[in-house]
Amino acid sequence: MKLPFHLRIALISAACSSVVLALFAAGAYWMIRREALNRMDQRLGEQARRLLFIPEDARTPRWDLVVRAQRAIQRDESWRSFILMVKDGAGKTIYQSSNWPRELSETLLPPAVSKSSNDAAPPAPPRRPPPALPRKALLLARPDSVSSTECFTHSAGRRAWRMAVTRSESETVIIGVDLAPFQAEIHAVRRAFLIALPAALVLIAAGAAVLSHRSLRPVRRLARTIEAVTAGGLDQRIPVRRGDPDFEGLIQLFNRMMDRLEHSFQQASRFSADAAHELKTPLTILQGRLEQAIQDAGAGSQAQQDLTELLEEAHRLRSIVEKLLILSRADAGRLELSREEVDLSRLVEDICEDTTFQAPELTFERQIEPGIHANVDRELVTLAVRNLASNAVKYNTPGGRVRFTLMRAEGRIELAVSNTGPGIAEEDRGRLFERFHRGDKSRSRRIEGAGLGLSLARAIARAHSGDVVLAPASEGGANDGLTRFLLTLPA
Amino acid sequence: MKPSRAGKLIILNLRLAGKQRWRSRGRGIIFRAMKILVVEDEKRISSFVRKGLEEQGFVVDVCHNGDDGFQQAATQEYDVIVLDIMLPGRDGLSILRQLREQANTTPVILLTARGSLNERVEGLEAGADDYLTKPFYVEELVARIHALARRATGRALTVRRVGDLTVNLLTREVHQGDRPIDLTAREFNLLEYLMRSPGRIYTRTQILEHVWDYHFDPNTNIIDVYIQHLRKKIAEAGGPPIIETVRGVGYRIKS
Repeated sequence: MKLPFHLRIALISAACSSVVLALFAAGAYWMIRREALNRMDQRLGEQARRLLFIPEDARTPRWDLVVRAQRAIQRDESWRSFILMVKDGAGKTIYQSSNWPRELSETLLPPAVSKSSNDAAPPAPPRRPPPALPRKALLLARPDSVSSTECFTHSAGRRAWRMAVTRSESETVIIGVDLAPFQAEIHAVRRAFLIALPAALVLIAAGAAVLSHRSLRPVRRLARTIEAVTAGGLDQRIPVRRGDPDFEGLIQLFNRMMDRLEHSFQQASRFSADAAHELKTPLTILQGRLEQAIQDAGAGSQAQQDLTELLEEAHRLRSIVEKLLILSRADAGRLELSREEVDLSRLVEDICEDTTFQAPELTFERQIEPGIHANVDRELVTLAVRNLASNAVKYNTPGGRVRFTLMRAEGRIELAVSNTGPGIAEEDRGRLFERFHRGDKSRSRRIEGAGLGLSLARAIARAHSGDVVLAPASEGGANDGLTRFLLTLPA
Repeated sequence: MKPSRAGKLIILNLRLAGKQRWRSRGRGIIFRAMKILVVEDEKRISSFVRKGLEEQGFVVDVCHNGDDGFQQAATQEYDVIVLDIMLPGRDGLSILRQLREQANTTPVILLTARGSLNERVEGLEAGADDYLTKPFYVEELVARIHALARRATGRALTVRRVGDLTVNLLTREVHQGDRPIDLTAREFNLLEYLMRSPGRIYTRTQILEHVWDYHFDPNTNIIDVYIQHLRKKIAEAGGPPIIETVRGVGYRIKS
């Protein structure tokens, strides 16, 4: 199943933009995350350096200053989880903040730190630094002796910490901050992306669908007009609207094509109507003169018999002309129907009876549902049914069968005229309804008629909003060897 | 004997009695031939129509264009006007309308070549009494003229008679003398058709066209079968064999 064009456009544009948006969002997310982490690391580094270089105050012990600084940092909303550890040059912990998480083992600290303290890892680091801290310790640290800050993420238990390690010659400062608020922030960004992306896609798809649907409006108008052309007449045109630059040309071309078509079609149908009309005058003369001459000739004389044959030929000519006239009117969609209530059962019975006389050597079967009435043109429907009947006789096998079936079916009236016969070759089925087509390829004169019967029957049925079709070989009593023509009329 | 109308006065023999309007004038029967105006531009058509109608005892005037036709129809009195629709000058329909506007009620038969429904409806609405589609048989035209003339005089001929065989067109009853003959609809139509003009030969094609409304395939033996039925039924009623076969041509009723 193929989707309508505008939906396909919508899907394709949604698919394309989803790829682009997803790539963009992933890139943006990654960059935002990295930027935020960098910023955090920078601040961590700053704090660590600040702690390392707390200047000595003569009156206040250094650790108090450190603790005070630590508290000051923790006052900041996002640095509440700030933790701190200070080690001496030998790797011994000389200070550890009170909120240092137990699960954060020192051994997991970077090798540079742990290496120097592998032999003297204290089983339980003191909560308080030893009071006998050399006062000058921090003063020894000169800015140029401080290594750069290393940052890494350390997971412990369910929590993740961002740690920063800064070393001077004599001390190592390790600080960390809980990553949870940061992660929450990053998650919020991700969530925002995950919500915005589908919303944007839906918007894009809907926009594309609406836009393509709207821009296809002239095409739909074109389609409606073409439909009207097939149903009604060739006089249909599409109004050209400004602001349709893509379709204006197409519509103009279509209208011009319709002009040409209408013109030539009118010419053609007028030609056949005129031709048929012009033929009628000589035919009238021919027929009238022959009629006269037959009466004047000696009764039963050879001349009279010859004249009668001529009259019959004139008659055949006339019947062809009349059929052509009906067909040309039907082609132009101007076959006028003089409708009246017709007892179709009766009509078919009569024709069946007539056909019986026409071909006494054939076996006739009839299944005619009585009392089927329809509002149709009696003359034309009679002509159609007669053509089907005589067709069934003409193309029958010697001693064959002809079957008439008339019934009501699903709001339609169905007349099936079947006959035994050699069957119809597959390649002939389509051409059967062509004008002047006759079943046998030799076109022998053994078969009377001009080959207009079927196309005439079909034209008449169609003028009544019905149809004539050749029933498929398999349908309707398979392999009974009957060729079945089906005439349907609306009930 | 002096002419009562502008028409010609002709005394005809009794054989043509069915075809003339007549009036009794004391000492004998005076027949005034029916006067027909044919307005038809195609001379070869009008010539055989004229010939055919005159053979039936009509007096025929022919006009070859619409203006002459209207002039003639408006100034002279006719029993029936046969009017072609397509004419040089004034066309048939406008002639007809103008005649009706002048309160001229002469029966008019239109001749149409197209035979399209519109044209027929238009013609009948304009006041035509009947129409014939080309090509037509003169015989058919004659029958229509008679029917119209009878309708106009209010004296419909409802019984056809040949010898003792009578066909009643109204009740559709057939009698041989006093004995009724029971016929099917088709048989009746066939007999009635042949009895229109005793002595005239009807070809198989003509019969098919008129009785069966067939416009094709004259090779059917359907007529022969029905003729046999008719002959048998008439013979059973004690009638003479009046239906004659004209070999290779058709049938006729012996006159």
